[in-house]
Amino acid sequence: MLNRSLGTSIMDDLSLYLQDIIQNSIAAKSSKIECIINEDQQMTITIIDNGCGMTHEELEKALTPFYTTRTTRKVGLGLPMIQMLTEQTEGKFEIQSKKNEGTRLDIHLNHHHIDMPPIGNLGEMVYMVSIHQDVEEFIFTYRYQQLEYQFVLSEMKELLGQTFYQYSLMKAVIEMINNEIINIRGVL
Amino acid sequence: MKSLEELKKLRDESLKKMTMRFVKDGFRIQVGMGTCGIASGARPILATFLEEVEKNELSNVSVTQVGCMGECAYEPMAELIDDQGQSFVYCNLTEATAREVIQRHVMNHEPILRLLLTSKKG
Repeated sequence: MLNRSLGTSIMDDLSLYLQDIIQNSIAAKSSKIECIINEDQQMTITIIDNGCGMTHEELEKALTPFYTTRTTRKVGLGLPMIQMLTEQTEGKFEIQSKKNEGTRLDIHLNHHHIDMPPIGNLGEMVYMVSIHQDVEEFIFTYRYQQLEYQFVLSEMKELLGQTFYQYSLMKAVIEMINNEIINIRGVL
Repeated sequence: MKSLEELKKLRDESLKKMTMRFVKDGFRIQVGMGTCGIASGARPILATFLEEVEKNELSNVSVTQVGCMGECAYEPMAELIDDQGQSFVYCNLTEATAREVIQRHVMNHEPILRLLLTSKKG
């Protein structure tokens, strides 16, 4: 019941969990982040960044809610929340990290499990990650059986330039990503 | 259905309106998107800021996201850095108060004291 401790706030869809976990990559000073969702019998989500990484000791501590390297708040919540999500869907997750090289997170979810949250607005997640000024490259891939959609931030920025940060383009980009995902998997 | 072609069209329309945009000394709005911010609804707040900026054709405002701002109980929060470089932290934002921040603070240079973190924390 960790999420209830945030008062009235709840992480109630997958896109929010993912954004939260990707914020960790941003905080770890990653310039390039990749997020791959593979949906088949199981759902596998892989997040790879080129951020500052963690030592073995830091990695062990990272899973406890009362450890954090941040200075602004005394508890870290991101990874324990993903851990909770995998446990409640009877999945698992693995994390590998190398100091100064980056971190890789593999999340396995039983997305047909009754306690699986809805997928949520993935387009919004992709956009919100992409507008962080330190993120140079963000590659988001959605694979459903044999089909695939890929969003590449550098290509999108090349296409849109400064208009990427405009409200009408924000709406259009989000809608496009969500439509592409609906196209390959039927629903969002 | 939004396609890349449509994005290009929107881009060109937007570019026409954007001539002489992005002056140097503008306002900067940073929306907190740590675990706390995301969970309490930072995304619609950021979208509201962008919407108001576009609606009012403001050329001197950039909106971006940042990580945890350290006052989780007061999320959603946004830091506004004005054209003089002064920082104001707005907290417990809603879509309505986010609109108010743009209309009163950005457009009329009138900080909204009751929404500032410093007033809420006492």
